[in-house]
Amino acid sequence: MSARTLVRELIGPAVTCAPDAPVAEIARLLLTHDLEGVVVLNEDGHAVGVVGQDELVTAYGRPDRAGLTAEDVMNEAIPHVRPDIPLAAAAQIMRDLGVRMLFLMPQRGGITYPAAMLSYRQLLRHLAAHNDDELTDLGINVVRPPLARPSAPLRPGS
Amino acid sequence: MTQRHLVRDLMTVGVLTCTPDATVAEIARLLLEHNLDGVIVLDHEGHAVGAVTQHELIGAYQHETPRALTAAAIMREDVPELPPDIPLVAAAGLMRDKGWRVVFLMHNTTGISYPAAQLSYRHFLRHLAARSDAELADLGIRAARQSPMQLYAQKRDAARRQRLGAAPGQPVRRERS
Repeated sequence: MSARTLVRELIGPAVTCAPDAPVAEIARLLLTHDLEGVVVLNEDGHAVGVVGQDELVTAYGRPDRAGLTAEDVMNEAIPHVRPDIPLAAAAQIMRDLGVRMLFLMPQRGGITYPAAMLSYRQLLRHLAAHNDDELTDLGINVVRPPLARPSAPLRPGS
Repeated sequence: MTQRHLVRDLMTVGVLTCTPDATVAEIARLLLEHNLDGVIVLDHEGHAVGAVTQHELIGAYQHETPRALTAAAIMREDVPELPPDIPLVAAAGLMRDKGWRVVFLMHNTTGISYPAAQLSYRHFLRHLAARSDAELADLGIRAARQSPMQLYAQKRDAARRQRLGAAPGQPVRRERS
């Protein structure tokens, strides 16, 4: 709860989608789970981009929006963060980059995959919390350990 | 995808407001509870003096004690505004360009500026995600809304409930004094 809280204490699970996921489906996913965005994984389980609310609102303005997929609209630059920096530093990084989510992106066996994320929503929950009990679902201790072999794409909500 | 073309077809009529002395912690809680991107700050005369969005709240982290800061200290004084009769596609482009996740439609009467409606990224996401128009029934200027009298009765009952310590849904009787 203190201002010295570290990113690792507030992270939550990252949600992923396939490159051919339609934008309507991604919009539904973000609304259902109150997410800022999802990471796009290719067939090898490698993170290739991110689709956030910004990308979806850009897609909204396109005349061909009904047929667009994650691959068409994703941003290939995935904003990432280290788990051991203070929240205030992460908040400043987000504002500087103009993004609302940061991912923890470990590499293993030549594969980069999203292990966890920190978003505006978690920061708001941190600001709003009366005590630590309201945040027990967040942090590195409750995030599932990364899959040994991320060949199977993660499913939303897993 | 459904037939809604203009901002007024998708906006939410009704905007949450706070006072200038509301704290960051209170506003963060309000935004989370109502899934909002921002609130309008009203002064004691009911005049809109600024807006606090998620962006301003996250900016509060640069202070030693972010939770205790007030709306007056962190608000943006230029309320992001759009007119209700422009195409949604144009509104989406404008909001993307300006970096506004929420815009407000303001009423100006007798020298007082008052927020009437709002449109946010969440509205666009809901429009993208909607399988039928029925999923958007609560949005737009034609959505069914409570009358001012119904709203008044609702607030009055909530206040009485709080005073009597009654649970929500329990009937509320007038206090005899």
